[in-house]
Amino acid sequence: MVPPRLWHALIVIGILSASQSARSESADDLAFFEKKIRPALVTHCYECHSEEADKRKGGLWLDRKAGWEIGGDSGPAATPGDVDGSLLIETIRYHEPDLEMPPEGKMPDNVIADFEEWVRRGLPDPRTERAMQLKPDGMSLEEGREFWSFRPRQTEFAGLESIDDFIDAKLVEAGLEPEGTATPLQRLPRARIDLTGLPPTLAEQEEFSKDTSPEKWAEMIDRWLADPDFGETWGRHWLDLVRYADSSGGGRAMPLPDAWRFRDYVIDSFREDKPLDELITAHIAGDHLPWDNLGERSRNLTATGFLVLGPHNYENQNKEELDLEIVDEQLDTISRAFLGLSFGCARCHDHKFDPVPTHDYYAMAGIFLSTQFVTHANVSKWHTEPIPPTEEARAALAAYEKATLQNNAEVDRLKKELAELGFGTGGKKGSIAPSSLKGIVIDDTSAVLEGEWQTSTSNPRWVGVHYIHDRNEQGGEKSARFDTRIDTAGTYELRISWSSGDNRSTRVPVEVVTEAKSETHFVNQRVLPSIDGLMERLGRYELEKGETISVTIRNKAGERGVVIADSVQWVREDSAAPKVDDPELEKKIETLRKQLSKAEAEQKRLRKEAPDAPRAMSVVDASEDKIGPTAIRIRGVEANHGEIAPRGVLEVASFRPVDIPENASGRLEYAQWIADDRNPLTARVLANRIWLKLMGAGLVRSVDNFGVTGEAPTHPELLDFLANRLVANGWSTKALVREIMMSDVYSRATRAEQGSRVEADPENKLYWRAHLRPLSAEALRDSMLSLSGDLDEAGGGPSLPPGFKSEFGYEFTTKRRSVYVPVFRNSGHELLSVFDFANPNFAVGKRSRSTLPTQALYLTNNPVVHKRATKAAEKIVKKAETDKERLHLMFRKTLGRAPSASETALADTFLEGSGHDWPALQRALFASVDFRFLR
Amino acid sequence: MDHTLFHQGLSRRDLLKRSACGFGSLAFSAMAAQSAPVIAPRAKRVIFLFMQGGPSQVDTYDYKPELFKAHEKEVEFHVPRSRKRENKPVMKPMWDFKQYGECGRWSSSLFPEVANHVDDLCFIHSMHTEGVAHGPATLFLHTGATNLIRPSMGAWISYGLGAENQNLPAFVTVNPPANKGGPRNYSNAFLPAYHQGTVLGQPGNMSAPPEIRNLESPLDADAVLREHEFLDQLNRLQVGNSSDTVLDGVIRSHELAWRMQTHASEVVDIDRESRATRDLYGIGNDQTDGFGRQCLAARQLAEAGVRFIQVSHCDNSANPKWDQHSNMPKHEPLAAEVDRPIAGLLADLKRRGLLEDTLVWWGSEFGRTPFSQNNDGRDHNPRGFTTWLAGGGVKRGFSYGSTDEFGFAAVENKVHMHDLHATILHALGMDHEKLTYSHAGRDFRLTDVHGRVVEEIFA
Repeated sequence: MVPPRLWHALIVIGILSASQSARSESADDLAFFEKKIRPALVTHCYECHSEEADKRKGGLWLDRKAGWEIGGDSGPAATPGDVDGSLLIETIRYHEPDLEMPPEGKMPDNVIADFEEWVRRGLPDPRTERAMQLKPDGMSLEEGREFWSFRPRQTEFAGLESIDDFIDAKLVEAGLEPEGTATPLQRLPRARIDLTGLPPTLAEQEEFSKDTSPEKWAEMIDRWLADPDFGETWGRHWLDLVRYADSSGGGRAMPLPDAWRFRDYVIDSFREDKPLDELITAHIAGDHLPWDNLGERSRNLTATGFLVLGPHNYENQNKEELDLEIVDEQLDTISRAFLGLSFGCARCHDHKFDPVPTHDYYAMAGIFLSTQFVTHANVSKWHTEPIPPTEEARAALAAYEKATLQNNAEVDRLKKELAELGFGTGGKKGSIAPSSLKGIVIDDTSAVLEGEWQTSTSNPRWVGVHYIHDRNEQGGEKSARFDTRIDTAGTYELRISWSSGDNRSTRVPVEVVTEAKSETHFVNQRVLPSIDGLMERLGRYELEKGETISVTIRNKAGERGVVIADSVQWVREDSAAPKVDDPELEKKIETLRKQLSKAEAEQKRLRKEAPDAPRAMSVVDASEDKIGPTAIRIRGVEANHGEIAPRGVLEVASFRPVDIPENASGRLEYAQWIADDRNPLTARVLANRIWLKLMGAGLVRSVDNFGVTGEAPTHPELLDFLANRLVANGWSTKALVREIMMSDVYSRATRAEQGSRVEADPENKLYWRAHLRPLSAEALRDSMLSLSGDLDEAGGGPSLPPGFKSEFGYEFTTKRRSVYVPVFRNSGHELLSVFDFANPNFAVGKRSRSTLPTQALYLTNNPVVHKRATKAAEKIVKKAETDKERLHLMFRKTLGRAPSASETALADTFLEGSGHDWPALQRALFASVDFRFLR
Repeated sequence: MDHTLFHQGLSRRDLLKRSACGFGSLAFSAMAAQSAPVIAPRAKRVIFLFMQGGPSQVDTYDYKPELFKAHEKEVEFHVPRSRKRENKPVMKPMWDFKQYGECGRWSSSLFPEVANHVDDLCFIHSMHTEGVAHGPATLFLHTGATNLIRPSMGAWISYGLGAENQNLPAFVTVNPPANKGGPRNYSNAFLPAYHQGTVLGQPGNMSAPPEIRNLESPLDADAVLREHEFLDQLNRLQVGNSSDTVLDGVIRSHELAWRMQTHASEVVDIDRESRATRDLYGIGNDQTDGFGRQCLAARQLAEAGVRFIQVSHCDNSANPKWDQHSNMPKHEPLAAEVDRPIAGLLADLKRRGLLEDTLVWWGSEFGRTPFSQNNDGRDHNPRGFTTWLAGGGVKRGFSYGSTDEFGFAAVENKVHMHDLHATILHALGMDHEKLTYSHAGRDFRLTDVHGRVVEEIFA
């Protein structure tokens, strides 16, 4: 919706320019228009800008005078007399790649000249019969405020007091009899998996079989609500919503090494039942929240990681566009996750259906653009903030520092001692003149090269002007040959030089061909050469006068690492220096060298494992000069600035005024507006999400869309009742979960036999039975791991190994709970992806539920499933003795119940036919519907 | 939304009827039910030959004599990377151009074998697209969006047309790149899960054998059959008399998996082809073996009724294959890897009559600049580049659109990537403005709010 002020401006411009141009039109001008301009407009422009074509791209009509006068979204298309200042002329000149018209190709030069002449003549145009139609899209503010989800919650329910009251009332109204209660051994796994993500133990099955009283049920629910696994299970639901991932996605999919802190923060928050209003406030504005201790400060900063966890193409070269993309993603995630609305469309135009005008979009965008969330570079990076380290981390840092100091001193001491003995290990960076070295020196500049070699002086040290390297490419195809002719016969020592480094090849073949023999030495170019850090001895050769010898350095196919060629040195025995003939000194040097190499290895390890000062992905307010409102971007094009939109919130849902301070981003005020008890959307949206996770379908089935195109609630009063309960209980997740699980409707059977109820309510909108729910991907994986005895119960901490560079080719080997498996945006864990894990690129309120042959193939053929099943079966075979006991145990452990008579008969036949193939039976149970669904 | 293969609310009888159509064909029936006139399809399927990294148009098919004259001269260009006007040194093509075939279309000496097929090709010299870096541009090529999460073109086609063969998915991608967006380039995004591209082989590994994940059982055939039958009976017992279609779906998914396991492995089988056919694709020759196998697999999949088959000439290094920022001569060995296989594919499709209703598409995420970078390289160029189509009802020996005199920016009859998407859907009989899917409260399209069908290229 264009704000009223802008309409005024547009109309005023229209009137002004119309009166100006009216003065200047002569018969000659009009003839010019008819001959040159109208045909060109018809040929080149009407396709997209005329009523006949039913197209008004960019809001612009060119089939009438008022069209160009008032113009489109970017303002008037032309100004009489101002050729260079007219947008129309700028675009047809094809000068700016983002502003080229017509899009299919440039018009001929003479036509462009005609248009220029037209503007010069004052834009004579006789097409005055059609006016502009100015009708804004979408719902008006007043209409919007009357829509159910924007209205305040109801508080009076005419005597209905519990969840079952509301459900039963509708069933009575529809004349439908509800299903009975599920069996205890159906209810038990349902509750256990809902709360902890794992199947009930045999002891629990025993316990509940003996006592199925409501008191026992409540006791078990309370026990599991207090179980740490609750945090992992419900934290994961939240992570779906906030599109958590350990890599950035986009083209490069950069790892997010600190994302795990946010994940652990979320899990802890659900364990501790942190009020959801506080959780949301911390997500959006944790950096503004007060704190009592450093731990709290850390958590508050970590919470804002929510804003920078999104999927982005950080290599986008248009940085203004990147900023807007990130803010758009933040707004969209916030709006979908917490408000159940999509703001996205309003970036380019007023929302077609919902009362979300472009103006409000940029009012909210201004808040997030006033925030520091990215640092720009060729490849930009998300923002991080240092967080106060814990006691433990501080102690580790101190210990590390001490070790480093000691090690550095040790290395220095050894180097000094060696240097004093005349066996220095290094020198200053730079070139060593070949003439300063003894004997015959052949530099790489005189070498015969095959293949492409790159010259370099990046690493210290080298002989002559530079050294050369093979770029680590085309192994086996490159060589550098150093030839020389011997003038004086004698025993020569052969040495070669290289500049060592971590990326070098560890096995570089050096081929020596003399007249007497030919042999190949291999050198490790990661190691610093022993003579002055420059030269290494390769061997001794008896050489004759006049002999031609060649030394060839090659890059070998299949070897990894860069190959260096620098120089070759031949030193005659009597000139070799400094010669060691004191065996004791030799021994001492040898010992020192060994000690040094050990100390240096330790130094390297310490450097590699340096603990970083902990940082969390987070945001803070931008510097003061960057705080302020932003301009509306017309059609969402970043460079196309319109009117400035003062910062604010979504007007249609503004139940109280929100003041944005001038010197702050306004995130805190925005967060408080969302997490306010009175916000009509937030509590409803969250209560509906909790209901969905336990009941299999939301009261509003389009759980992320509470707008006009979403579905209306099946039980509007119950929704408000639940939202009120959520708020009244201090936004406690656990309290609402408990209340729903204690209801009758939660414990209903899922049975759906053909009959009148199925016909009357096939989608079970009235909850006459429990919805059939698939086991989540996580519960499927974790249950299999648990049954095979492989589950690693360690929780928390970094997701990615140290030094992790890229998700491509990553092998998922962890056996921890699925919530700790790294979530990569471009290459997911196979089992989790196949079984409908949430797409980490969006806020996902409800996962898709697919039933695909790829799942069947995974369960029957994947080696991991075979491995788990075999181990689970082995445990059972060991534990129970008879076939009957084993079968019983396997069913109890896997499905939480004993086998039926017909299942027993079927299994017996199978066991007999397969030679008692217990692993196969276990696999079949893993693939059976009673394992894959909560019945 | 419940993305079950067998849509909720259908009875078992409906399911049996539906199984004749295999992998869902909902969108097509939905579109066919619309009152709008249905476009007569010219092609039934697409084979996309993706040259990852951006081959240079001015060194391959876009012949610009001006480049030879202006060689090493500084000329002002609106440089895509800096988004500014800058003076840059022009660099002439490194290969000779010649006219080929009856149509006399130009080709450089990089693709001598494909050049023999120019009379079957339809060049578009005026391509332009979004994204200057590989990530955004590659995503745009595949999904029509540089950053937002959108379904891949193959997924849209699967959604629109369904599969021809009930034992195979409709969208298959052979050894796709694992980088530059990776799976997002063949993802279903918000479309139902069964429209995502099925990967044959291994992402980013051109020499991995083209096969489907988990298709082979570690067990012997008797054990496989025994277990399959046992599981089927067990599931039927557990489902009992429930009318839940989801549970029926599980049983049927195992049946379909079983059929795929027993049939699909036969579909792609390089060894069953004659020696002469394998030679045609350059299989057995070190240089062309990898890509040759992929192209032959593509023909077998096309024959078996897959709708959208992508074959990628790519690897997993940080710089994609055709990305010669320096060392343009490297184009030569790369071209040699694909020239024979592509020519072989065209010849093979033609002699089997498959070229008539198969649209072959050769292209990349963008082209390269006519000015040099790092002495002997060229930079990315989304503003003008060449792609070619063959078969599937396009004009033969034809060329459409052009770039400026330097081969830099498209100027005449420009074809945006959105336009190409619209045009390919059109060839398959789909209106890109009507192929929509409702998600998050709005109808989405492959072409967003853009796209123009380039009618002029159709015969």
